[in-house]
Order: sequence, then C-alpha cells, then structure tokens
Amino acid sequence: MIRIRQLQKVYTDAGGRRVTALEDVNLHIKGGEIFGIIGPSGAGKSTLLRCINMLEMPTSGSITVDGTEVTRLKGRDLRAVRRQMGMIFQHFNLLSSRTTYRNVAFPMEISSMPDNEIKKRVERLLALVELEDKAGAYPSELSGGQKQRVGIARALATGSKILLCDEATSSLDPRTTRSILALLKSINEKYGITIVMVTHQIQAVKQICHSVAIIERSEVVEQGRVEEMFSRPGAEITKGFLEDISVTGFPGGSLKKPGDTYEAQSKAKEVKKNVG
Amino acid sequence: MLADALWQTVYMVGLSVTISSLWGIPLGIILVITDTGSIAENMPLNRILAFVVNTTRSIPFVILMVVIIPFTRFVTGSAIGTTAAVVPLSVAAIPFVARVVETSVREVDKGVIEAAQAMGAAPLQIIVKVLVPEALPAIISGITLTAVNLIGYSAMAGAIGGGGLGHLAIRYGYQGFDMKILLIIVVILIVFVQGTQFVGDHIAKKVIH
Repeated sequence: MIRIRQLQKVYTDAGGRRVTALEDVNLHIKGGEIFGIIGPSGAGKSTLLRCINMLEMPTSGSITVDGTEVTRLKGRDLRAVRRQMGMIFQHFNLLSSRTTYRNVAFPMEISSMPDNEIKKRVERLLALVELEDKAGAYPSELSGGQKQRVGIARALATGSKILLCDEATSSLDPRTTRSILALLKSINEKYGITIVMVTHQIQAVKQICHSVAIIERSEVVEQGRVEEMFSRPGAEITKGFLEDISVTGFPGGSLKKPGDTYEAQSKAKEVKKNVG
Repeated sequence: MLADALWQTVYMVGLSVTISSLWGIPLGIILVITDTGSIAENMPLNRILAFVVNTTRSIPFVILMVVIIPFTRFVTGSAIGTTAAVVPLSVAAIPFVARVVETSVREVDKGVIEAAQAMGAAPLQIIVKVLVPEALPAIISGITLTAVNLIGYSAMAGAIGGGGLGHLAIRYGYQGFDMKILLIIVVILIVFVQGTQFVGDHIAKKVIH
C-alpha cells in the first residue's frame, strides 16, 4: 500500500544550519493494517507522516502509495492523490467558521461533489462517529473528543483508503483517547482502511496497531509486527522500550501515568544509565 | 443645508469604504499568500506590494489629496466636488484596509490551512473557503475601523470642494463663529461614528463562532 524507500529529509533552520529530520528511512506499510510510528519528540516521526501526503517535501528518496509515486507529483496530480488520503491532527484543525455538518462536507466541496451526494454522505459519516445530534454545532461548542470525531468523519468523507493520524489522541484525556482509538480500530476493521498513526503513547500502539516502527534521532531503529516486537525485542532501543513497559506494568487501564509516554521512558532510561 | 452635508458625508464615506474594501481585501490576501512559505509564495511581488502600501500610507492625507489631483481628474473628470473627493479617500484607505486584512488573514490557524492542503484544496479554494471565512470577523472589524477613520478624513475633503459635515462645521461653525451649528454637527458626527461602530460590531458578532 505504502512503500517508503531511502527517504531523507534535510531542512535549513532559521540560523542557516542544515538539520537532518529523516535519514535513510525504509518502510513497507501493508494495505488494511494499522501501522504505528512511535518515538520521542523531535525524532522525525511527524515529518515522516507528512511526507506521505507531501505536506513536507522529502529531500531525497521515494514514497509510493497504491502504486503511485507521490514524491514525483506536483500541483493538480498531487491534489488528486491527497484527496484519496484522509488526515487527522492533534489539534483537530477544524474550520471554526463552519458547523460540524459543513466541516465534514468541506473535502467533498473541494472535490466538487453534488450537494445531494454530500448530504447523504455527511449523514452517514455523522452516524458512524455518533455525532448526528451535533450537526449544527460549531467547533467551539464541542469537546476535544467530539472535535476529533468530526475530524475523523471529515478525513473519511471522500472515501479515503488511507488515514494518516498525526498525534491524534495526544491532547485528549485517557478515556476519550480509548474511545477514539476504538473508533479508529472499528473503522479499520469495517472498511479495511489503512491507518498510519504517529504517536508517542505506547499504549495507543499496543491497543490498536498491527505493525510498528520505532524512530529515534531521524532513523528507524526497529520495525515489525506489534506482537513480535513485544515478545522478541531486537535492537538495543527496543530492549529499553520493553523493559520500561514491564516496569510500568501496563494494565491497559489508565493511560496518562508518568512513564506512559515514550519521552518519559527515554528520560527514565537515561537517568538509569547516568546513575548506573 | 445640514441634510445636504450629511448626505455628502454618507456618500463620500460609503463609496470610499466600498471601493477601498474591493481593492484592499484582495490586496491584503495577496500580501499574505505571496509571503515566504505561504500557499502562493512570490517574494518579488510581495516586496513590491508591501512597498506601494507603505509608501501610500506614509503620505499625510491632506498632501495625498493634492498630489493625486491629476489622477482624480483622470478618474472622475474633475478635481473638485463630492465625487472627486472619493478618489483620494479611497486611495488613502486601500492600503489601510490591505494591512488590516493582512493582519486578520495571518491570524488564521496554520493547522487549518494545512488540513485543507492535506484534503487536496487548491490555492484558490483555500482563499475562498478557508482564509476569508475564518478571518471574516476580524476583516469586518477592520472595515468598521476604516469607515470610522474615513468619517474623520472626509472632513478634510472640504479642501477640494467635497462638502460634507466636516466642511460645514469648519465653514459656518469655526470660521463663521456659529457655535450652535458647530455643536449640532459634532453631535451628528458622534452619533454617526457610534452608529457605524455599532453596526460593524453587530455584523462581526454575527459571523463569529
């Protein structure tokens, strides 16, 4: 479904220095799976996700989505491919001037779908995300979880086969996070939509991902099936990552504990090293 | 006499607000989208427009009125009169509106623009469906501010025979020592400005969510 080869992203920062955000990234994301990309802040995981729909232009390397090499596309062709991919965001990014209904209708307006078709689809999507009663509400009148549900409905509106999630649950409380993750999982199972999920919440990966890639300092240090990764740790980083999981216990209950996030665990590990 | 002057002021302000919005809003949007990293980056165009806007804004209105007399004559066929006064009023207000709109559009959440891009929106769709609607409350407040400023400026348009309330106040009130008419006009102007502000705030409140 998505094949990433030798992807490199280098950008120049405000001070004129060259910063490497991604280095020789190779990934294969299969159709119909939920693929997690996890790593500490600043590791380059969001950059990687944003290269898939070319919100970020890679410096070199290629990304092929469903047989189309997106990294070669520009203008109209690129926009056409973007319409096949939905995206949801940490801060939801809904239009504050539009109601729930019209936010979901937005991508369909963009692709000039007829009004009666838009109406049919919006109603179906709002039923899917259980927000039928909020059709006339503005984003300012919705809770975080409700906003993300609108975001999900909007991302699926044009019949996307791929859903990109950029820290989609990171600003939600644990309960809402679980319900959003459950929704994503059911969408994946019901419609076979491929989900690529960037997160620093290990629990999110454990709860719904089939495969996972760990990114640290611009590089993929480990990737594989989630159950294998958890039972057969390979790289050094994965060992640390799993040790910390066993230390924190992971009852599958509360999500927002210290040590729950990847950063916290990395830090804990560093502290341990320093002490040792 | 008062009714005539009031009408002249309404005419001058109304027409120049309309003209300056028609030019200033697109100009303000272009200033944002041609800037570095925006949806239609074009630095040469951006620099040129910014220079023109700044230059026009740095000329005091009384002087601008005189300087552009040939242009005024070219547009309206005459350099004096109420209609002629609309030209310098509009020319002065266009860059003001442009800057106000620029500020409003810059405030639009970058994430929302990015979401629209991720959905495959073309630059024009982003302008029409994202930037303008999201910035609309601020744009309306900015235009109200322009209208109130233009009421003040229109008093100076008397210098080129524009007429209006300000001119009447200076001529009969200040120069003719008629305190009564001066006071009446000041009260009318206060009501006029308050009314404009009230209507502007009301519309802005209606479009904010």
